[in-house]
Amino acid sequence: MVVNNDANLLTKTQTAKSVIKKSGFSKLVVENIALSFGGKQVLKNVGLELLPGQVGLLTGENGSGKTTLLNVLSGFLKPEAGQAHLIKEGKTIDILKEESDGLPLLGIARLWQDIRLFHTMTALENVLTAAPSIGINPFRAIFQPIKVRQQEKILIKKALNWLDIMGMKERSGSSGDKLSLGQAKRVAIARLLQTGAEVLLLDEPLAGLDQAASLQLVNDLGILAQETGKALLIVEHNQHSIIPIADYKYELVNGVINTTELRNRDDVA
Amino acid sequence: MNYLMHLMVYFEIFAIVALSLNLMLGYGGLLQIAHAGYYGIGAYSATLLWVHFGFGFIPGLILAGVCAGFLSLLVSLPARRFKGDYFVMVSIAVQALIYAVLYNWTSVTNGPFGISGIPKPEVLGVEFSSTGAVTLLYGFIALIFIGVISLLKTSPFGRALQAIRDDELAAKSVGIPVNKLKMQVFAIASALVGCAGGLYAAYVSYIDPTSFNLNESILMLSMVVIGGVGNIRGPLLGAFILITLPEALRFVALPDAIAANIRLLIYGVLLIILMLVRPQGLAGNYRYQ
Ligand SMILES: Nc1ncnc2c1ncn2[C@@H]1O[C@H](COP(=O)(O)OP(=O)(O)O)[C@@H](O)[C@H]1O
Ligand SMILES: [Mg+2]
Repeated sequence: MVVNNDANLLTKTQTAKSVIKKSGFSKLVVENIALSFGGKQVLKNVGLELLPGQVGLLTGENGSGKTTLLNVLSGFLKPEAGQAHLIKEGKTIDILKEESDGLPLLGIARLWQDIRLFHTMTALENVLTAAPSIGINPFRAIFQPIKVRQQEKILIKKALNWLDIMGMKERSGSSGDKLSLGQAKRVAIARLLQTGAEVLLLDEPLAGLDQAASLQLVNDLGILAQETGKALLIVEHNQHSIIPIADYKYELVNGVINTTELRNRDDVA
Repeated sequence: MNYLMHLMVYFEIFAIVALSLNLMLGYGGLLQIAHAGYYGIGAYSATLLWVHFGFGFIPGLILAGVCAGFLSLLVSLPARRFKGDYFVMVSIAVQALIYAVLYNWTSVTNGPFGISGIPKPEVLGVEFSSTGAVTLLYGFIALIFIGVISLLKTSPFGRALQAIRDDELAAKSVGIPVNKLKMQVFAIASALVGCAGGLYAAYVSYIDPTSFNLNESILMLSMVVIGGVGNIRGPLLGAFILITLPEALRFVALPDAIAANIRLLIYGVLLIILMLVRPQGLAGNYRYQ
């Protein structure tokens, strides 16, 4: 993992406090979420918390509702009950009241289990779609093309940096459908980072990767959380691969979460 | 020569029509079946502004675009839903409605008899009365519109539309305001085709509702689909082919009584062959699905 000096990244020496300040958010709190499909109650009473820089492992059997919970937290499903808040810069954002396309800018964004890169775009363009830019306004695109282009330069630099951090800078010109599964996942994570969100929900980022690729990605994700202060909620069926970097294990069983605090991270005292 | 220039004017008008429709279809992923309706709104608004309210050519043209764009907002704002089948149904209804209004609101549109005596284009006191002069003026205007469309296409706005077309859920998940962008692209495309309608009215100097019916919308869609969606050259090629093809067929000696039907048949067969052999269109980047 390469971390550039000019990146918006923090060095390892900075304290947890400055991490909080940098990332702007202070806590994700999810309480009593309930949701059913038809008559089948998938989530009964789900709660969890994450602080900046923390990694939560969300595990559970196939069909236990992990993706469903991520859909709720990213605004794609509305639960029948419960609360989810992002506490940030003294403000409390009610996640359940927001639209899915508004949440990334507010600070919470997700990676899809089936990746969902934009297949007619290059890796770099994929990452660029995630940047809030003034040129998304068609009138500014027409009447202020120079301003838009100037901002675009900055955004490209930022995007290349995230691709670099995910080890994908050399593939930045490759089209989305020409990447291997592992590369596509890394590009999708770079795209997620470009949104600027501080809480990242990753749905099975390791699925389909071989042992080596999987180890490398876990390692990179661990460093990412530490150095950027982003909080990661990682869904993984095979919990042993994530446990080395996780602060909490949230296990979904019958619609309820069993929380285990893991103490094997040296930076969590 | 005059005849070739006449075809050139049509090509210039339909270049704007096809490119604006491509904004919706190729970038917004919106299957618009009422494009000829918005084209008609533009043609009639411009005509009324010029004939009854004494507007100049350019101000009338711009206002015609505004009217068509505004109408698109009336359609998209209340529903704010652009899901595939729903949007197609709504646009079919809008097409039928616009045609019915043009046909039946006789006090304003003169119904099936249409409006004649529309003044020729005039810019800065110069009247463009000869076909040659109109070719130049409309070519210039079409180039401006092509410039605007390329600017949009290569901007973050265009990229966001491309993302929506590729994968709407993924677009939302990276923070792209999907509904807002669809509304915007719908309004822009409608405004552009509204201007094209005004250009058409000023050139032919007589309009009636038949130029703005469902058949015309389908012809416009064929231009984009045959040429290919997602870039600039595709719709231009499609417009060129569908304007010149009927003229080429004129030289094939067909009995008058069945000529029109044979032409339709040839279109149909061409479309089917094309969809089988080259589903992305002749010069398209990708396949519309
Ligand atoms: N949109 C949906 N409609 C109906 N049932 C669904 C839907 N999404 C998920 N389910 C069901 O909810 C359960 C949990 O699914 P999911 O959250 O995808 O599980 P996991 O990600 O843990 O494997 C499964 O039984 C699945 O069939
Ligand atoms: Mg799942």
